[in-house]
Amino acid sequence: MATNNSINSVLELTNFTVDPGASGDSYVQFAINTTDEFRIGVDDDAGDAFKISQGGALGSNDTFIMTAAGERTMPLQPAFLAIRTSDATNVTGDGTTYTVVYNSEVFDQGGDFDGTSTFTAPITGRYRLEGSALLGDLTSSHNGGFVRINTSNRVYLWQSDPGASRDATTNEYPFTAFCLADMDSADTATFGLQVVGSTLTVDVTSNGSTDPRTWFSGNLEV
Amino acid sequence: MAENNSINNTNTSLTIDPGASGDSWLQFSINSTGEFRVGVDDTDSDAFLISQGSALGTNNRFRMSAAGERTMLSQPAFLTYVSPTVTNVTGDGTAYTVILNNEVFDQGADFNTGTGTFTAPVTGKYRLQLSVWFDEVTSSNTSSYIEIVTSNRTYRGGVSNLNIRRTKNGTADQVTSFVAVLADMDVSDTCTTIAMAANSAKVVDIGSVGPTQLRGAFNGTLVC
Repeated sequence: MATNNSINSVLELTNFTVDPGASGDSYVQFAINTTDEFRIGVDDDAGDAFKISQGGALGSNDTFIMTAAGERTMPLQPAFLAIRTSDATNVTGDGTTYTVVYNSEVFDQGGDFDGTSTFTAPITGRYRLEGSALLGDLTSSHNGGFVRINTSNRVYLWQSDPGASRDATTNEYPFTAFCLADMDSADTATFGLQVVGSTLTVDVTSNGSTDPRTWFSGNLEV
Repeated sequence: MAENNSINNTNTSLTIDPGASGDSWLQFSINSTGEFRVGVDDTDSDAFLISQGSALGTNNRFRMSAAGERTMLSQPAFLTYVSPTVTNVTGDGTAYTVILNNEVFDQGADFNTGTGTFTAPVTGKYRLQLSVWFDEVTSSNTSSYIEIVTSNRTYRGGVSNLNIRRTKNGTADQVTSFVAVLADMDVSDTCTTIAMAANSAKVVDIGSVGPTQLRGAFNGTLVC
C-alpha cells in the first residue's frame, strides 16, 4: 500500500480506491498551488457519510453530506426562515403597502437575510420562496388586497378579499404566496401586502416563536 | 490500489479510464470496506453516480445525467393524501389530526400512514406543504384553520370563513385551504397536521377523490 505519496505527473488509472486502513477518513484532496480547495470522501467520524468539504479537512466546512442511507444535507446552502414573534399593529387597511418586518430568524444559512425584511441572493440561481402573513383586526369593509413577493426581476402577486373571507370568530385571514423565482447575484426579495377599503387598522399577527403565524422562507433550489 | 496519494504539480491531473468498457470510478473504503463509490456508470448512459457501498449502480444516492438532470432517489421525500374521505371529523371546533393514510411515494419510509406523522431522519431544513379539502361545509362554518405541527413550532394557515369561501358542487359544499413553509427539524422531530372548522355541528369531512385526483395532500422533502 502506498500512503501519502506525491504524484508528479499525470496519473491514469483504470480505477482508484482510497483506504486509510483500520480508521481515519478516506478522501481525495483537490488543491491548487498547495492551497487546499475542496476535499471529498468518507468521514469515519460521521457514520461513514460521504462529504464534500471546502478546504483541507473532511468534516469542517461541509458543503455536501450524504449519509449511508442517502439523506443529503447541505449545511451551507443558502436557506432562511424568518418569523414574526409579535404583532405589527395598524400596518394597512387603507391602501397602505406594508413590507413585512420579521423580528426573528429561525435559521439563515449563508447569512443572506438582513434580519428585518430582505433576502439578498448570494449567487445567480432559482430560488424557492414562500411566505404567509396572518392579518388581524379585519372588518367587512376591508374588501380587497394583495400579497406580493417582490424580487428584483419581477413581482409575484395574489389578490383576494380578506374582509369577506376572514374568520368570523377571530377576524383573521392569511395572505400566502409562493414562487420559484429567478434571481441574479445581489438581487433582493421581500414579502409585502396591502389591504384596501377601510382604515389603517389591520395587523400582521403572531403568537410567539413557536406559533409564529407570519413567516417568510426560502432557499437556493437549483 | 492507490491510497492517500496527492497530486501536487501544476497541470497534473488524475484520469480514471477503464478502457473500452466498464465503469470509471473512485472508491472510498475504510479498512477494506467499500463505503462509497463515485464515478461514471457505463451501463447507465454514462451518468455520474454517488453510490453507497462498493458497486456503482447499486444503492445510488445521487445521479447526474449527462444532460445535468440530478435525482436523489433515497432523499427523504413524501406525498400523502386521505382516502377515502373521513366523515364528521370537525365543524364544531374540533382540531382534527389529519390521518394521511395513503402514500404516493415515501422515499426513506419516514411517514407513518397510521398516524399521519412524518419523522425527520436527520437534522435539516424540510419543505412542508399542506392542502386540506373540507367537504360538507355548512353556512355556519364561519371559522377555520389548518396547521403544520412540528416539534419545534406550529405553522398555521387557511384561517378563514369557510362558508364564504366554499364553492357549490352538486349537493356538497367544498373548499381547500393551504399552508407551506421551509421548516427547521432536528433528527427524530415529528410533524403532524391539523384541520379545524367551527361554529356548526361535527359534520365537516376531510378527504380527497383518490390517487389520481388529490384535492388535499401533504408533501415534504429534505431540502438542505
